Amino acid sequence: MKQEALPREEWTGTDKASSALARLVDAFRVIARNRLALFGLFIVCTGILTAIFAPYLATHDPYEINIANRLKSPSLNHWLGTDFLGRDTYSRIVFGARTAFEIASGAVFLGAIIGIPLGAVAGFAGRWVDSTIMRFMDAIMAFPGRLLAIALVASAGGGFASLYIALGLSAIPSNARIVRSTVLSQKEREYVEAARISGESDFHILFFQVLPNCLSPLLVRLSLEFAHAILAESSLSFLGLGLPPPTASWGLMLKEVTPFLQLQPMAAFFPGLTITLIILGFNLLGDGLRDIFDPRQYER
Amino acid sequence: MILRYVVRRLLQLIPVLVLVSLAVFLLVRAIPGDPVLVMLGIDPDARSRISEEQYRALQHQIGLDQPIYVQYLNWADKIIHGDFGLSLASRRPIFEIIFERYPATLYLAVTALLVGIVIAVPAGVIAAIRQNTRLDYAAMAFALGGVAMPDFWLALMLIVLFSLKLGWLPAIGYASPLENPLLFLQHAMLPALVMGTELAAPLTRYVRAEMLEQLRQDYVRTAWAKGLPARMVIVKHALRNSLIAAVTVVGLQTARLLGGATIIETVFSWPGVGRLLIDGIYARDYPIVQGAVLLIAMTYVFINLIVDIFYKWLDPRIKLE
Amino acid sequence: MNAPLLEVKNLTVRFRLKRGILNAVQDVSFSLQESETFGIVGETGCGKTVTSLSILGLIPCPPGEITSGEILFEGENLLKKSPREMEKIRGRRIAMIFQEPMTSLNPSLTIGDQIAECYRVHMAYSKKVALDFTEQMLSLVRLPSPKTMVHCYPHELSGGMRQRVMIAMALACQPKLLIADEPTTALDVTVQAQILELLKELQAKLKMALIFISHNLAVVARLCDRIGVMYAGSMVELADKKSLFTDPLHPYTRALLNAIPSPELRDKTLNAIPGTVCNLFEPPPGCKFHPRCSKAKEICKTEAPVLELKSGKNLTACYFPGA
Repeated sequence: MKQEALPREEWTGTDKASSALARLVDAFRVIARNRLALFGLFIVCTGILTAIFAPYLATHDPYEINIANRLKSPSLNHWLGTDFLGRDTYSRIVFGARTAFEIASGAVFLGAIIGIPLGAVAGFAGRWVDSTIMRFMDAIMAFPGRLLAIALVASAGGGFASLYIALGLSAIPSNARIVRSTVLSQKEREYVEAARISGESDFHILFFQVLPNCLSPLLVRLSLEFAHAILAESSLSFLGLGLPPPTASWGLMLKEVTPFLQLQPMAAFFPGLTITLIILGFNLLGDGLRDIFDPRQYER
Repeated sequence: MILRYVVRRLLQLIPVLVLVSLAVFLLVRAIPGDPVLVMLGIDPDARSRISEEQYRALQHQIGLDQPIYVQYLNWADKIIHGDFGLSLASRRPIFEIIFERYPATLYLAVTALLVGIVIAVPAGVIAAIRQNTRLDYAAMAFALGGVAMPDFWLALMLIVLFSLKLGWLPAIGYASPLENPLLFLQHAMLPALVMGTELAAPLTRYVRAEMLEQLRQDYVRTAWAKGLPARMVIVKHALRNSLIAAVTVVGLQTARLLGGATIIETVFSWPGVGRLLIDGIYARDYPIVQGAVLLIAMTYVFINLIVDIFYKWLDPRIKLE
Repeated sequence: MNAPLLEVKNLTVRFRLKRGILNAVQDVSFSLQESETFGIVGETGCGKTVTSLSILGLIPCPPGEITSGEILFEGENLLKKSPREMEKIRGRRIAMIFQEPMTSLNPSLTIGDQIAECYRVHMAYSKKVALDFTEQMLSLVRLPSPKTMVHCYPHELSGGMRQRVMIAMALACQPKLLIADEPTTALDVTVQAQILELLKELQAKLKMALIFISHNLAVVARLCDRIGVMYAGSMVELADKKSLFTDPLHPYTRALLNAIPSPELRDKTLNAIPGTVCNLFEPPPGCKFHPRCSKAKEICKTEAPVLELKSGKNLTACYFPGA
């Protein structure tokens, strides 16, 4: 799966936002040649479109209960069968995409909007500001995997708002670190020195000249963060700590169907398969992007 | 030299530990509702039946009448001395309860670790020496799929297959490996398989990549030129160096497993610290939640530290730097 | 004259790469007697390393292909041997040392372990016996305090010391033939001299044949009895040391000798060979050197000359050899 990478020197920094953007466009052209990454992109796009056009793609009302029809296997009427209340599994999965992407977008956005400035400040200001901010990041990262989200949601209660906060908080440190390390590596460069001498404010330098260099690693991170967020929301909902019934959430669907595994394993198969595919899509996309920007980096 | 490194890392750890404990402390305080009622597990409806005097007494009893930083210091002081408080449900010291449950989590984590390594290392090596063949593609498919699969889904699917349809393995239950190793293995097999896959998927990829890198190195060419049998070149030379780098990954993944164990333990009703946490959340037994979260986070931090030190010790080149 | 120890006959090796087929070695032949020192000289990319790796069967055979030829060692064709049989020959009857001592040793094993491996695998010695032999070997290559040295790791040693370790490893089982591929190129000049001395001494002591590969004519001159000059995958001249330096036959050899800087040429321009090495994917027709040769005639451009006896005992692949 060797990928043709853009020359290493090109990615060591530029002072022009426009050329950073131009290289990004080049990068997408390279993605097109990596079939797995393309497949990932395809899955992600399908997911997004499903989320947007859910009402048009669903065959039934995802909330319509029909006890007589519960736990049926896939049929012509119900493409993926029905759940324990007789609701159409396929339609619930389609609307589940909407839920998943809503939550994930919110979480990733929160993580970025807080994490990026924090990382920039930490890298630029240095010394004790840097140390303090990074200790906070370390503290967040001291909680393994989904534990932080579980703990936060446990104290704040379930529901959309607390999920955004819980998942968003977990996403902050990775963004901060990426931005910080980019800023640190660019800080001493000539073009920064030149800009400073010619009177540009620190903010201007930071925002328009240094930050665009983070775009590539951040994009990689973004893709993987989406995957994390979707997994986290599903996990929390599976534990009953996330979105409440009757929300169409893939994780919640798995929770609801657990007592009926013996009767109808199919009801558990499809929602989980969907989660797997979506996460796979984001992972492949993220990997493809990473192969382009830094093919020697290993998964951490 | 290595001692200095250890001391330096431990010192760096202290502010993080303080922040973590602070976070856990505040977590419970952040729960909506009257903290006195929350901490004591009193139903809000019953509030009206408690007199002001009684309320103030209760408040004093759990120290909530102090300013918040005093509360934190008192709490932290108790934690350091091992006093995690009492469980609301059972009125037993939390430290004791956690201590009882910890072995189960540990046994499962170790089993999962072994399962994961046994799957990943051979898979990664074979994928590397048979690069771009079907074996390689299969291993990579496993790596990608394993990472994408939610653990709770894999758990459910395995339960359907091995427990419900085939009846080979039980879905719930526990036996201590010290008392009944065979029974323990029977019960641990499915959860360990799930957790092991979680570990094995990224590890396979890593081992493969490292092996490919090592097999290209000059010292491997020397090994071939010495007429060493293929098995020796691959294992004693290339794999050995690959594993040194892989130790960090294994350590990190294991540490991560501790966080994910919560969900697996719940699905399989495994009596570990993770399930204790979830049960505590369901029962609104917040002292337990606090204790469990704190313990899991601390363990994670320390395991990361140990892995780092171990890696430094292992690589003879880094030792002297 | 005895039967030669090694006979390479019409060896042709090529590589199937994405860019096309690389003709690394074409129709190369030479032979070697016991205890003889044979030097192979040529520029980077002329095929000398590929030739030597082919002798040991170390060419990776997906991209690589040995399309024709024979390599006879003590009468047996190495190209026809199974991997298992080759394992018994490598390190035991034929050994090789490489150019980069800094990276040619396993960083996570002690050097004692790495040398002892040879004894344990090839001679089936026990750990203790292998260790004894290892220590002996270490003193043979003039490394200090063998008893402590065996517990050292490669990164604790300098480049020169590591190369001595490589030599110790190679000679552990007293092979009949040692192939040294530019063993001193990566070393300091002073260390170079020491290593060359060591090689010479050990060769005499162990009565071993030596193939010494280098791009440095001066070094080859000191060590070798006979020398083969390679260019773009072909052997263009094969002569004994004296004749090669007094009366070089092939234009390329003459140009190489001419290009050696010397104090007399101070203040004058160096005589570089005009042009660059040809593209090995699409070599020119006829003699591969003809685009750079001052004596090239029509036949040189159409028919590739063959290595053959031209004057005395020296062979060259040229239609117009000599001055």
